[in-house]
Amino acid sequence: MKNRFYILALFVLLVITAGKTFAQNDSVAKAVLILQDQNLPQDKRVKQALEIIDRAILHSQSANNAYAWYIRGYVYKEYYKLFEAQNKKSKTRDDAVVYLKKALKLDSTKEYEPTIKQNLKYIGSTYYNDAGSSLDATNYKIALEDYNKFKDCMLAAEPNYNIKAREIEFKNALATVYTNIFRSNIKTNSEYFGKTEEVYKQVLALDTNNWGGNYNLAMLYYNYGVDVINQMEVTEDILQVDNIQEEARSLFKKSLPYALKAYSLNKQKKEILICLQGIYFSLYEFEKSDEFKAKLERMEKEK
Amino acid sequence: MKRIVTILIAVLCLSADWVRMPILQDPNSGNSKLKASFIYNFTKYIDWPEKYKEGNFVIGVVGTSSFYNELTALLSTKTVGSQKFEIKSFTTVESVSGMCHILFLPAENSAALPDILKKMKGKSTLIVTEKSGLAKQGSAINFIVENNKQRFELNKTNIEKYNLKVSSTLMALAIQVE
Repeated sequence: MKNRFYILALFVLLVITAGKTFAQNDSVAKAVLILQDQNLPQDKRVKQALEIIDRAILHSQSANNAYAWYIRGYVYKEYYKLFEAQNKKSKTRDDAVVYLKKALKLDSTKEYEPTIKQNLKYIGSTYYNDAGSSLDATNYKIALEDYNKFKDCMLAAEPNYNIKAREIEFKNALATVYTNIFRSNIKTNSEYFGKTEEVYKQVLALDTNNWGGNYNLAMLYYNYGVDVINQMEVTEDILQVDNIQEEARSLFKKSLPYALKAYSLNKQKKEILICLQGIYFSLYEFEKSDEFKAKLERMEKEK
Repeated sequence: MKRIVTILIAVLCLSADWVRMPILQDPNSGNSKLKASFIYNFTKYIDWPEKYKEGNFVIGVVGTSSFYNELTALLSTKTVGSQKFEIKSFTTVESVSGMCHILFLPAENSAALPDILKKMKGKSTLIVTEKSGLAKQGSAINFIVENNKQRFELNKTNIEKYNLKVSSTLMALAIQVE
């Protein structure tokens, strides 16, 4: 009698578990069906699918189901595209990434891997573009966050993704923003000089032959050297004048190798000729300054 | 069923504004300012006779140098004690006239130094030049470049010849020439 009761209880439990499993799978399938239902407007499809998949994921079996997490990530991505594409701080997009990464981790058979990765790459590209449009003096911190999220997505999708080119591009742009902040008030924003310098050096560590990194770093030092002198009061005591001059000279000297490197990388750029002309002039090497001036004049005549 | 909806891959696009070329500062402004500041300091460390301590403090620039404009912009609102700076431009040596506390001879007009020396004889004018060797040829102070820096040679004999007194501080900072 006791044994018969145990067997019956086990049977009931199995039926309930199976029912739950089917219900869970049904919900995921239902979410997919709704997404594909052309009779519904797209916004309704996505909203309904999101509600269904959010409920479906609560089933214990979904916790480790790659497909369920993939669908959830996909639906969240679609929701972001439809309703939050202009929101650079969209939590839905962040959540989509979390779910897709989870799906990728759970997908032991790699059945969904290609599509999960495609979705991650798509979201990554939206972060990258948002990073680009946030690169200004006010929003650059958002840009940095978005850029890191871009990297996270791309590397999750492709661990061997060649991030270098993007890294250089972004860092050059970020350094330009820092430079602008610094130059808007070199006294109160002096910390941005160091930040700019650091980022350009990171660019050059990635690629010593990056023209922009070399040229801009040269310009950063050179312009600051001129600023140091221009900010000086003409009535400054002679001892201090000498110190200021020494500081400026050191900046001009620092500038020169980067400018020469940029010149060696591309001799046809007008701006580097102007830059070298200015650096040599500031270092009182007038013959060399005139040499670059003459090169510039020749270039302009040829055009 | 499982391979739902094609995914559109967004293109990674950057705004052209991402990387802007910085604007190069004018190198002339820095060099001129340093020179002007040195000249201002000469007025602090050199003592002129009493009769030169009245009226404006006159700095003459010989020739058509752009330094005249720069000096005017930088010093015309400043004073030496109670004396206001007055920057004068003398296009030729012949046109140099009146009381001049400092007479600056730009490098391109260096050949005029002998004539200037004749013209300034007996006056208390500090003659400032900017060409190598001129401190030995009669100028009191001569700007030179050393180790990529603006420095100045000082010839004490030439200064005292014009009844001017130079402080030890300025002497210590100068490259002394005899």
